[in-house]
Amino acid sequence: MPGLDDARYDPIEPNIASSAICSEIFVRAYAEPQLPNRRGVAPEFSPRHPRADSWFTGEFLVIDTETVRHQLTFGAYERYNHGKLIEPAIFCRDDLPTTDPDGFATLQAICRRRDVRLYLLANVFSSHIWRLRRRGGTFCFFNASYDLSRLASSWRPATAGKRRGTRFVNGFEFLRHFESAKDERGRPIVDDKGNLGTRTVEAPFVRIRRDDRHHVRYDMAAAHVLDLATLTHALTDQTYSLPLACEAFGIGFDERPGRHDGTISEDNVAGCVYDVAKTSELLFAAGREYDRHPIDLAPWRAPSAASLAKAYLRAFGVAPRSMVQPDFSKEHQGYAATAYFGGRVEDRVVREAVPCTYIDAVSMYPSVFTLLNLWSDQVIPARLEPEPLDPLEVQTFLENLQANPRCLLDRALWPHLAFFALVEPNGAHLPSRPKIPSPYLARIENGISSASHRLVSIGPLDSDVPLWFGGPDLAAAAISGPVIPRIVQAWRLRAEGVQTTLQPVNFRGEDLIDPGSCNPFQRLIELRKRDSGNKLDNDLRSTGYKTIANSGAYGCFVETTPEDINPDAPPATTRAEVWGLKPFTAVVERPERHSPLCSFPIASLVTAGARLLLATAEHLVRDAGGEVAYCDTDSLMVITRPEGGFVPCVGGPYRLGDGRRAVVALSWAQLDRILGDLAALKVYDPHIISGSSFKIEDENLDAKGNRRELWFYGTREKSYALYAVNSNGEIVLAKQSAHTIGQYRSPYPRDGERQWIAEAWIRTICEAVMQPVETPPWFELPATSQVTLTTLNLMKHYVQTSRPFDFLAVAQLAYPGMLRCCDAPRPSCLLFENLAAWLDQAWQCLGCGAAIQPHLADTELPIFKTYRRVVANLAHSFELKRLPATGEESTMGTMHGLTIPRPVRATSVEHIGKEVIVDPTDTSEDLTAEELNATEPVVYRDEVERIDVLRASVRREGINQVARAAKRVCLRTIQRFASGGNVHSPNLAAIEAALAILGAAAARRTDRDAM
Amino acid sequence: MSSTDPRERTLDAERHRRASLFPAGASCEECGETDFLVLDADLSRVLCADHAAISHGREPVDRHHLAGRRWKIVLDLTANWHRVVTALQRMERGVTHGKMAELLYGIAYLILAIADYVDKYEKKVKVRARSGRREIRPD
Repeated sequence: MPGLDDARYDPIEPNIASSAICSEIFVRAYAEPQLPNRRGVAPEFSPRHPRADSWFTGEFLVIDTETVRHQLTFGAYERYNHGKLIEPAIFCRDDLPTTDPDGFATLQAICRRRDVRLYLLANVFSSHIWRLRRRGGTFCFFNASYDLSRLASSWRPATAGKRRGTRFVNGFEFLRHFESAKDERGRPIVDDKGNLGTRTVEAPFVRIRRDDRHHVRYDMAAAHVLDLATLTHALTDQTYSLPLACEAFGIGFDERPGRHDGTISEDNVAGCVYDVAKTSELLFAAGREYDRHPIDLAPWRAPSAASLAKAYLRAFGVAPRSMVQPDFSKEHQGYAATAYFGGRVEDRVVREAVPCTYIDAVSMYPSVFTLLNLWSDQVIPARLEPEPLDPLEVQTFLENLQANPRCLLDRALWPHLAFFALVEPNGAHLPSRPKIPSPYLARIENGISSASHRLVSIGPLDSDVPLWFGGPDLAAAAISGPVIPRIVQAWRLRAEGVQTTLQPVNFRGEDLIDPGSCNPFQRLIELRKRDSGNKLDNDLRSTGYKTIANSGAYGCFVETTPEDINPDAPPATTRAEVWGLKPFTAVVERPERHSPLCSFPIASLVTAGARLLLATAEHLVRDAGGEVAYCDTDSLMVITRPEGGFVPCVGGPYRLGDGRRAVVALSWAQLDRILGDLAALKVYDPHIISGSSFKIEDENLDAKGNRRELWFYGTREKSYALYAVNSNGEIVLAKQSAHTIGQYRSPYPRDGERQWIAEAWIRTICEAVMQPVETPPWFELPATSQVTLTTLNLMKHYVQTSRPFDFLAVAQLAYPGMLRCCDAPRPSCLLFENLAAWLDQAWQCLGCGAAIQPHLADTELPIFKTYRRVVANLAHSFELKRLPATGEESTMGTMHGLTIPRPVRATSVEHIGKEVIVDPTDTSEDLTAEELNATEPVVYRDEVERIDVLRASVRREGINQVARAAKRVCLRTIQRFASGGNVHSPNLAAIEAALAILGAAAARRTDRDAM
Repeated sequence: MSSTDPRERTLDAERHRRASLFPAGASCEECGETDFLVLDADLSRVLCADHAAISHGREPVDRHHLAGRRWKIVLDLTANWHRVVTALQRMERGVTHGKMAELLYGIAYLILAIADYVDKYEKKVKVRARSGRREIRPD
């Protein structure tokens, strides 16, 4: 490299643009809504319920369906009782003999040749579905929702009921229609003249609802629905297709005959029968694995590994804090909640290729959980009492850390970091959740730009009010920046006694773990490496133990579920007691419940500990003169070269002889020494897990296992690629992220490997490094996403043309504002395979149902965003949490090379709940222009403060003015409110709306005057 | 069988239910039997219960507990007859009778099944007679 030897240190002094500083921040809060207790009585802890030896001995009906244009043609089932096959059979839709007699005759002939029974669907219902619903049994599918939807004659919205409450609202009720000559009691319907009468029955056979966490609930009376796609995911934390799930559980899945097009042919029928046979094998293979876990959780109630982890905690006799200690301080839960942030994800080197080494922490969350000693100190104690700490002592502790950051390489220090402190940040590098204005889109409403992002960022923080942080975050601030926050108040939780319900459990039936004497999650990470000599057993243990340990050491303690609300019911509000920076009462439309295990102190400390572990590694890299290009929760991309040296990089602190800016790349040997230092923080038995607490990932190795030079190219958080350059100078991808771009369908048919994303990244990198690129043929096609019709809201304009759980293709507009049919125009149509046929589709708006012409009026210009734009966005998006090294506002032109954190100067703090994925039809265009999975949190506002502000605004605007704007509220009510009286919430909402109108009008007047 | 007694219309109601399990006009491929009560629901080859048993290599004879399990009276009925009598017995499913009443009901179901068969037979004869008359009519 030219001019690399004569580099000099010449750091850029950033001049932070005032517009780049964020002023609004959000903090999480602990809330208890005033909702009726679901069980009617206060919950009590009972360790483990007795269970049968196997969950898989009853009657199981394994079903698969084949469809043409999403309508059932035929299907197959196998019926098992006590694991023994009773009957395999094929069935077809009821009207097949009349609507397609030739097809039916073909099916009859195929069944005769295969010597398998053929039934009408009516017979499957009559003989099995109604019977199992009544008497109990299990229906087993691979992707149950779709198949159940195909079995239904029709559907209707599920409603709230006395037994099921609102658990299924916004979901579906699938119905079976039939003519019956019997009444409800099974007696013949006979009229006065003795003639047999009939009645039409529309009976619901299943209710389905996909909740906010994408878990699917089923209600099938006494029967259960077991979706093997879900069960295999819960056991391994991987999402599988049927062939891959079979492979993971050691079942051979040879070449499946036929295609999935639903037409009646020998091969297609054989394919369906094959799928059912393999699903059955998978059922019992996954069943054997599930039965090994000595937990009392039924497999049809296990949507994820977190459910298994919770069941194990129950099996260990670990009582949730809310049950073992109902008087546990909610105030301190609230303080810890405000200190809760997710993992640290940021792209430091933006849109510039740099050589790197990709390192990853070994089981980050279980490691930090162990380092902080949270099992003994916070999970199993009988009582936890908040104990104040001397702020001066904490301040001194942090100053010592700053003076000697290598103290953090001493494991014995980490348990002392399990504290919380109220601090004045004073510009220290601390995490916050600022509202960052979106540079992409901004719809102006009432004179205010509504587009913004809530992101967790770490950087210089100032605040008008003191804020709470976990000890690990304060330690990270001490070693990362020049400033230490001023400690105002501090506390830690003092453990008292040990829960008496603890009991040893034979984990997976083979590894005895005593929760009283060891931390099970640390032990699981060690045990997953045990070699039993059986590869399948090793693989299943390795994935199962890892997912349970990760969920158990973190996820379980922060589980929050939004309450189901009935969309048909008039909007209702719920009062919630909220604990955050202060306790207050809020009124919310959709309250959320914390799980009984909820412990914000644990969750906050684990994630803060993970950030500290990254900060410690980063400190060692910086100490050696190096830079980190990217970090994500538990991994770092460290800028390295085999022999070290300088790497040209815009914004870097060094200037090369040729005038270019540069950063230092560590040599591989230097990085190995850092990893050696970090080995001190490894918490696992070195005889079982060798190496450091961070490991060099396989992406850094070539096919022969030798270390190779890896390059990093990233644009923003979760959007990066790692690649190597082969001997021909070609780019060979080692790892690429599919964030955002993965929302789109592949332009290639059956692109299971998503090759198109790799092509998009290679193209982006080639353009960045000035290599020639070819334009693929799919570039000008509209980029569409696949959306499943999972909720009633999504279904509302597709009632006539599709069924629940059918698929739609959803396109994006090339530019916002091209359509104005509703607030969130979103072109959609039924899913089509050949993307080139996009012009032939019946496009309509997903939100309002209006028909959409795919061209701009009177032109041939398509209105949809093309794949060209999607691929271009890979290169043109940039990290919002950070700023260019010069401190300018981040824009396409300025964001390049090494960046600096965006400062936050908090003047307003708002309390929020958990962010949940919201229905795309419920979100505004700007929020979901790029992403269909937009999220929205519950916002908690102090009701007393809100009313006071409103009252002051009414007085300021004038009672008569407000009365004129608020048409539904009488003058006397507003007068009463202004003079301090109470008004009903609908009137309050009307007054608030009136004030917003008056405010907007005033803003418009000001704008006019200014012009 | 033209009484308004619901009990006597049970077989018709059950026939109505079973009709939905078959394509229109289904009949036994071996004997032409069209009674949905005795047709086997396997459509790969539509057979009556008798012929279905034969096709599976079994005798077309079922053992019928005349009056439930409390009486040890077991009759050998053809599979088709057994289907009809069982359908009648199911009508009283969930209803408990005294032991003697159970026996009498069992006998009554057998007689009802015979009556049903005769009724069906008479209707068939009438239809044949009518069609026969039509055939011999000069024009």
